[in-house]
Amino acid sequence: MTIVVCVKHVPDPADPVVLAADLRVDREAGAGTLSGLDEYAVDQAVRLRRARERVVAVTMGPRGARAAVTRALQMGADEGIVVSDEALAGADVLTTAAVLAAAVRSVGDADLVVCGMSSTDGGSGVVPVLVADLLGWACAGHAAAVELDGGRVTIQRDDPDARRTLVAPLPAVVSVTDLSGEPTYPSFKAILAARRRPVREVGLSELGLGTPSTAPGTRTVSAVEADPRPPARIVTDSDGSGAAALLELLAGRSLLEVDR
Amino acid sequence: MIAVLLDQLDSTAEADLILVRLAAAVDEVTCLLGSAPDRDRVAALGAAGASHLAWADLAPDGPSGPWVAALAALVGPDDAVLAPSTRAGNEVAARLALRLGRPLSVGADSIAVGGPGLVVTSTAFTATWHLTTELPKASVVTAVSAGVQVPPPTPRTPGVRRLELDLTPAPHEPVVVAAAPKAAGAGPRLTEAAVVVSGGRGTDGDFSLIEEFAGLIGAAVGSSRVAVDQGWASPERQVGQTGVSVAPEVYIAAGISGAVQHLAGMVAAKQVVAINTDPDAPIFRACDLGIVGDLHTVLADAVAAVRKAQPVHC
Ligand SMILES: Cc1cc2nc3c(=O)[nH]c(=O)nc-3n(C[C@H](O)[C@H](O)[C@H](O)COP(=O)(O)OP(=O)(O)OC[C@H]3O[C@@H](n4cnc5c(N)ncnc54)[C@H](O)[C@@H]3O)c2cc1C
Repeated sequence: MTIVVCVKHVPDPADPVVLAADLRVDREAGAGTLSGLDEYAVDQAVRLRRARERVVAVTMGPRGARAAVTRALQMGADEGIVVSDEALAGADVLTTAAVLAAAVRSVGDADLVVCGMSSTDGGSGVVPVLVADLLGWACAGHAAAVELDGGRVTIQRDDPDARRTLVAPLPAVVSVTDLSGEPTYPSFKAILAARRRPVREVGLSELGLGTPSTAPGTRTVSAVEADPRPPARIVTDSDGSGAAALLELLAGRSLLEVDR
Repeated sequence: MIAVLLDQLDSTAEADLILVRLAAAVDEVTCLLGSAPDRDRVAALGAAGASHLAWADLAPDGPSGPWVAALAALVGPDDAVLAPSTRAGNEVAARLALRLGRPLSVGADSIAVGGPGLVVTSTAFTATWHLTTELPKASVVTAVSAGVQVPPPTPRTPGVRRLELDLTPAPHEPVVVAAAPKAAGAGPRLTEAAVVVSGGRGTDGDFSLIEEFAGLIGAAVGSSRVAVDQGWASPERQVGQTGVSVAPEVYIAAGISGAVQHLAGMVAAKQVVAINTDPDAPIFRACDLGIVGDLHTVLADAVAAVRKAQPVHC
């Protein structure tokens, strides 16, 4: 069997966001990186790999997105698939999920898909459940821990009111959160070894998909950068001046009436 | 009509009322509830602007499939759907959009009638941008509740009906096999508190002054991810990109550097106070009052001053 891990190439969060004229993210602009939250997914996929199994890292994106797969290979994935097609520029979550689901099918013997809990740029967090529904598989989302036993996947989920254990039958899609353990940093040896692992580049037709419909769904009509806060009043604490400034601000907004 | 998804595991009664008020400004509201509402709940949802209440036996911690099926049965071809932008709410919304072939918009902070049907606004890229998006009326939208402007509601007297549907989950849906409940904790909820006091790595693991000050002034305690990773604060306290978003009157960041992922969860606060020993910490460029100093000294002084001013209770 095979574990597929879905990875996304995103602009470096430290770089300013560049939007193209059509208000889409300019994905060719900056250097980009593997989405920080997908590192957890790669790490879990590699950890869950059973004997004689392989981990296949799949990405959808422009040519440069191959870097996300390369990083996944360095972190221990065995093979990569890059789905690149001009027709996919600006793809919405539904199109993205359809492409990833088709890539999973193309692998043939996958029984587990691991995803990050959301991308760090788009951030809606719904791609994993959409991939699951398109495949007709179970989805166990937002796992803080994942285990496989027999034909089932067991996850721990940290909800606001309780820590829950959930079980789903395989095949399944799992998304993992940043509570799932810090990803291991690849060694130099692992980085060299990754160069020899195969990466397949495919277009939509190779996955048996047509051009995504351009039916008018959602349309972003404006994008503006948030105003920065005006410069702060700075108080260097000495002899209680810091606490005094803090309490004054709270009192000025009637937030110190302790017996409220 | 606009159908509104309520009773999600990770939403709250207060957030649900905000969602109903947002929806009521768009169209006549039908709420989907997970259990039969009592008279108080009917009155509260009516006061928020709900016209119809439909309910079915749907467990908040159950799989999302039956919620999707119930909503699908509720909405007609021209109806909009609004769900909370929480993990559970977004999951139901996305599955519904896929099932009905409708456009999806996640994380709106306002929703209005306009354009081809609806106009929503949202933030993007760790809350550093504001987007305006147009979509047809028959779309699925999820909305945040922290810090949103809600129009004054027009009170209604809602009718209540039970949905007669087979809502047995599909065999492959995940099942909860164990749950370890968390202590509810004293004080207001993090997402609803007027004041939030958050601690980061600068606390060096000692949250006692943060908790004491928060307790004294009726504030909620939050944290950075480092504090969660270190086990100093539990995960539901984490503010930021992978934690919760808050929009209090005043947000106090103590010993937090101001990483973009942390700021994403608190930019909507009306006033931000930072306490940090490093005058060059990025948080000082994202606050209204910056206190350069040791958080332990500043908070100890603040606790002492509040105690002194407070009438003594025996
Ligand atoms: C994909 C992704 C998602 C993330 N999501 C989140 C998220 O949701 N929330 C989040 O918070 N982070 C998140 N992070 C992590 C984030 O990038 C930062 O690492 C984190 O916010 C730093 O926490 P901190 O400010 O407590 O620690 P640090 O950055 O180490 O800052 C500690 C600060 O404390 C100050 N300090 C030290 N001692 C004292 C003292 N005695 N008194 C006063 N000040 C003192 C220091 O000067 C410093 O500025 C995410 C990161 C990634 C990659």
